Amino acid sequence: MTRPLVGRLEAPGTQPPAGMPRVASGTVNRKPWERGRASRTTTVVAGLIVVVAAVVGLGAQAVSGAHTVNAQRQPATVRNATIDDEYYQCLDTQARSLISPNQSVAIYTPNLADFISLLKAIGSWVTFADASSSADVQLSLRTISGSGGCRGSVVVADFAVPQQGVSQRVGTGASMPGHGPPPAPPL
Amino acid sequence: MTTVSATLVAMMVLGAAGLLPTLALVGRRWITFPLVPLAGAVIAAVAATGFVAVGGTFMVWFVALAAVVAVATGLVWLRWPDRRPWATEPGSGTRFIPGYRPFGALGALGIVAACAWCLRDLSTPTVGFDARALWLTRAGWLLHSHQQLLITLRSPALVLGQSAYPPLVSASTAVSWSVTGNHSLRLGVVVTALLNTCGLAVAAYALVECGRRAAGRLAASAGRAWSAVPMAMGVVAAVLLVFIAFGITEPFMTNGYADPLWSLAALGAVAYGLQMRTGRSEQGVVLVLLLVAGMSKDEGVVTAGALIVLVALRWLVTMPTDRRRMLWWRPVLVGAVELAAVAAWPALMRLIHARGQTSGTFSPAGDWVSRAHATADGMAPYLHVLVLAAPVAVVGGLLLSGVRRRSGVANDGWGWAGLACGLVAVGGALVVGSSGIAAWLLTTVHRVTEFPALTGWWIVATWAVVACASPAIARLEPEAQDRDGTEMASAANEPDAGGSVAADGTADDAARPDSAARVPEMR
Repeated sequence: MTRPLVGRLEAPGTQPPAGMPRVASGTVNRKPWERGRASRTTTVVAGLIVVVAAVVGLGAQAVSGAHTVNAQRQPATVRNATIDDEYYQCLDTQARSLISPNQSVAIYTPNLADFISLLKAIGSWVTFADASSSADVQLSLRTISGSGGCRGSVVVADFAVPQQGVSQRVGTGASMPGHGPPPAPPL
Repeated sequence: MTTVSATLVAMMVLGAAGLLPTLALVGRRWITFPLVPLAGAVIAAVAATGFVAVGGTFMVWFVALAAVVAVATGLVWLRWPDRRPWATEPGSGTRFIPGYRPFGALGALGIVAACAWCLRDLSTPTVGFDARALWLTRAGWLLHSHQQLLITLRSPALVLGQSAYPPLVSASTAVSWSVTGNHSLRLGVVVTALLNTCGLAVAAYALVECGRRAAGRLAASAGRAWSAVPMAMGVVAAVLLVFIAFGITEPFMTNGYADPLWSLAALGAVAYGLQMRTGRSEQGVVLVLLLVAGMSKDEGVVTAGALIVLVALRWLVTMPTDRRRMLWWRPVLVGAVELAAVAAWPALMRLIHARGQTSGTFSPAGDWVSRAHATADGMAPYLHVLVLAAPVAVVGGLLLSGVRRRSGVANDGWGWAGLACGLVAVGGALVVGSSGIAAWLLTTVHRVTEFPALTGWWIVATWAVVACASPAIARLEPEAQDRDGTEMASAANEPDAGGSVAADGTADDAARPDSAARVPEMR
């Protein structure tokens, strides 16, 4: 089964029959440039110019794109990505040593950067409390100067109800040398 | 389960959900392969919307929706047997011009190879800032109980207003985590990167289609050798576009951001919705891509909304007059349904008072001029493609519009209108928004200009394919030019002729060599 093809039947100056599909890309019976009709030579030359300009532009940009792709696998990029991954994995492990997924949690930090760091580390699996006051545990980041931290930070849990007589604990199970958050990835 | 095996399982599950609806909408085409997981991701996004709105669990919603869509597809095929993808047209395979299918396969192979080369970036274990803080974090929220999900979406203590962004990336990741048991951010990043690549593959393959379409229209009258040139250029341009797109969108293409997904899906929607004929199969492609764009990010919602209107408008104005009188409601209805689907999540977020959705403020009108200047300055470095695309379009429009018509590619103006939609949508938000413009531009402008930049390159690539047909058209006799030009112009813009889907689902009679030869029969 084929779609019936409908052609323009009119001779110059006649009207197309009713129901003829409209041509959105220009009209006939107009000036040459409006008709899209140019001489053969002009058509070929213009076509060549457009092809050359377009292919040169596309090719140059494609080469640039390939360089960008390669840049993502440069050792420095890989190293930064690995550090970033290990840092949040470290915080995640420390948090898991403090809380279970069904305990309601609030993140309580004095600055937004620490809040975002903790959210990025544990946000996908913890059960957030509706309000800080109703949370079973308040998590925060504390800067320390010795070993045992994740680039100098440890996760600290403050329990609403002391557990085994302890109302505050520090995360364990992972550590990472260095100081401060890892280099921020591109935003 | 390792990341590699979990990725395979996740893509198969998304693909299984999207397989039948994609086959029903698009038919058996090369682009069906990358569209299948994208359609599955759309189902996941709709499932997330239903879960937030009604309750239950996310995965029950996903499985139920996939089943309902599959049953609906089966019923459609039962009711209309001619719409079954395996219902081939007798003898249609032999009527295609030589090289039509091999070039199609070559284009698909080239795109896959180029994408695979670029996806080597996944060997770098990057998880983007927003991916970690937002897109992948929300995937975990979708696997919590309904009550807990509402708490996390509403609670002001969680600060991030962006958590009300559309759900497609998070929902796809949630499906991946749920079916594999691998809840790693790495899996979410890889699945998102593959979805991005699927969107790119669909958009790039449109160039192969352009070349094949042009060749099909010229083969009978201009000779097979000459008509093969646009087909070859279509393949080359498609492969180049892959590298260009990765260059523009990296590192966000492979680090879990949603920006490449909506940008590439919107690009594909421009290609198939505004530059190809508006056949049933193309409309199916556009539907899937617009839903992907509109369910991925706020910028995608606005751009997809504008493109939906534009696609419906083109469908309407290119309808034959008598059909428009009777069937004007079709594009209006399809557009309205698409708009409703895209608007559902933002409306729901307002309804549940999600964080970041209840305080929409504008900057003072007096600041708009200075903000517009800053926006234009901020966007300019990422839109240098316009320096090439504009003159190419002008030269092409003045001297090659006839070639373009005969090649079966729609007016370039539709592509520029699509580009303008993206620019106005994003630029308008930057100008009238209340956030500090300098910081806003610094952190987002390179990502939100991906769509207009990609569309600019697509326009250039299309002109390259079209211009390759000029030697073939110059060889035509003047009468043949008259004949082909008028006939093919009509067919190129004919929106809804009820064309049958051929063996490969092209719905493209003009790809057959006898299309021009049939014109005398029409006289």
